[in-house]
Amino acid sequence: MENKNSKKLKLTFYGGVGTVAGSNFLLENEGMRILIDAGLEDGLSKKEDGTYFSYDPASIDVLLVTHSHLGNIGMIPFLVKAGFKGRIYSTPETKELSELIFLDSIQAFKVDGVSLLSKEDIDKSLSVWSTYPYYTSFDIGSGFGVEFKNSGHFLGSAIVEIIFNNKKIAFTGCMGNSPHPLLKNVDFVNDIDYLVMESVYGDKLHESKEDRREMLEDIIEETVNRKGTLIIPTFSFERTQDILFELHRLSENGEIPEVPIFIDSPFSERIIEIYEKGYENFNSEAKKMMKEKKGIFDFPRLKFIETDEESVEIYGTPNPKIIIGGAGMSSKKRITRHEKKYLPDPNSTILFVEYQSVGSLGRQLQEGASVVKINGEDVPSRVQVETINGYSSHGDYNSLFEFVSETRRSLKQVFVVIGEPKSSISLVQKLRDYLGVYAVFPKKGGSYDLDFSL
Amino acid sequence: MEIKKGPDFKYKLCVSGAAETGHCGDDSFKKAQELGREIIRQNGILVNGATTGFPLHSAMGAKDVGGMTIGLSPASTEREHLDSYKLPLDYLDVIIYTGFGFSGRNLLLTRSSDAVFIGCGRIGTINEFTVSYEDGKPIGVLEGDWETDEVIKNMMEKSHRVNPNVVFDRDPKILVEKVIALINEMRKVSSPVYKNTDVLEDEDEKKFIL
Repeated sequence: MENKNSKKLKLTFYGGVGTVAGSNFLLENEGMRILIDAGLEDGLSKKEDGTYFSYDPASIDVLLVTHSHLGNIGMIPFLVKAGFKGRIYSTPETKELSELIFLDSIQAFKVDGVSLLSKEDIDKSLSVWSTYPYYTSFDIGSGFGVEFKNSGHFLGSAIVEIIFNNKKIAFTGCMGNSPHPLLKNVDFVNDIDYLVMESVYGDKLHESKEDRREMLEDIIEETVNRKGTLIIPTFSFERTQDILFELHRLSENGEIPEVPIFIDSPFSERIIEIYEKGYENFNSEAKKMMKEKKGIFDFPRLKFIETDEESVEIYGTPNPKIIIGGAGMSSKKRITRHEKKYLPDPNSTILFVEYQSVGSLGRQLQEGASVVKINGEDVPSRVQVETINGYSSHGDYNSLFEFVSETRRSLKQVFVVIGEPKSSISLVQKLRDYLGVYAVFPKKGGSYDLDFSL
Repeated sequence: MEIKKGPDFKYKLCVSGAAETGHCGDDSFKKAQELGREIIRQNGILVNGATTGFPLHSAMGAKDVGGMTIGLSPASTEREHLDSYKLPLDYLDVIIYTGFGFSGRNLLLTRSSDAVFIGCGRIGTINEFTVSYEDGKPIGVLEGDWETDEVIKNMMEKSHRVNPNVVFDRDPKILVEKVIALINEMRKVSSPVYKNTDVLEDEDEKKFIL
């Protein structure tokens, strides 16, 4: 019997528009409600009616997760707490890493000493969570099929393809900056009807791979010569891995001086375990390195810092030294402590290798602030501020553009989201003018009708 | 239904507009496409400057309804077109590489067309408007959420010129109708080839009697 449900689908953009985080999209028809990502935007905030969500979590049938960043998964335990009784799907690595990130966040989701999240909430979320590897299509009911493709951004990160009535809508989540030192390149697709894509670097170009390595070398050498400390704050877990990998390569080839390197991030060792387990998804060069030498992320002079006490002990090591750290919400205290200590030191350097959101401490420093507020205190900044965008795990304008270009013949419409308004709108215009693709910067909270009829 | 015999006569209709439509407003994409479609529906061939933006969107519309599109490029070769000028090849059946740069191409473009449509645009588009104007071409100015049409009205007012060959409309379909009416009117004045009676004088060359 033919499915009576309409071949028209409705897509609503509840979050992730005009910002880099807070990804939350609802795709539905009369018979099915599919949520794609349930991300944390800037911190937990309730709406006027006291709830976190603009829809009834109990009415959602399926949640599809693109990748395990707080900006995409942060609200999942809250969704489950608020009555979600559907199923969650992602790649296996995404689920594993998400568990770690949830555990890391419990401490941070406290209001007046009361935890808003418990381990039970996390366990409940994981209990309704199934996984499928890349390139394995599966049915989620009511005529909808799903397949995950590699978005090259993070271990397990996926482009979520939803197939309905033989037409496809793809959600890119965050797209990688290929070629990546570890991961395989982004999967190009050429049969997408509707595309919902990110645009973090929609109007910027990254430095080349050679340039970024040279810049890193130079920054390390200069800091060492000044006998300062090089801090490389990393909020996302995989940035630590990528920088470690690069430092390992530079160190092996004697291209950087021998100085102690501290990884100040309590979950790092666990993340590295997951990475080393999941190396089937690495590119061939990285796979070879893994097989040849155990411990691709381990080399002499590298010390993993687990406890808070050890974190303070770092200061006992004389300069020059390198501190990579602060990944995850539970490390915030530590990286704040490091920043407080080294920002006033003109011989030290702070190096940003990740996107710094508007208003963040990093962004303020990048824009030249000479005084910043840390925990309510004014801290003078005399430190050398450096930025290398080339290590970003997000593709730049060229990557994003090429991705769309591959599928431009089949595309009906592109929604450009997950980025600041300037980057998104710039990409919208370029896609329209150079490819003739109907790109749109959607309204936050806006709904759009999609035609899936043949 | 009108029975058509013999070859179809098609109007060569040029679409001129911004290569970068950032300043044009949200509906310029769809309006440009509709203009392209109407040009084909009303028996035209679309001609443009082989560029990005508004003219590209019109060519897309034209191709949508199975029409023919011709682009005139400022470059001398395809390589120069792609690499130096960074222009597209998409949605064009024929590209003529003029090698005359932008202003030279604008002149050839407007001269090769029976009429010119002006969409959203800035200096380059105004260049094409003034070149067509000087050549006495019928011009259709598409009104929309942009300022180009106002700029043109302003220029004409300030020059104290009333030109019946320049028409305006918000609706692409009506605008194309108006412009085609102008073309037909102008054509009435010219003579088709068989009205060249000079050849009647020459009696000696007739060899066609069986």
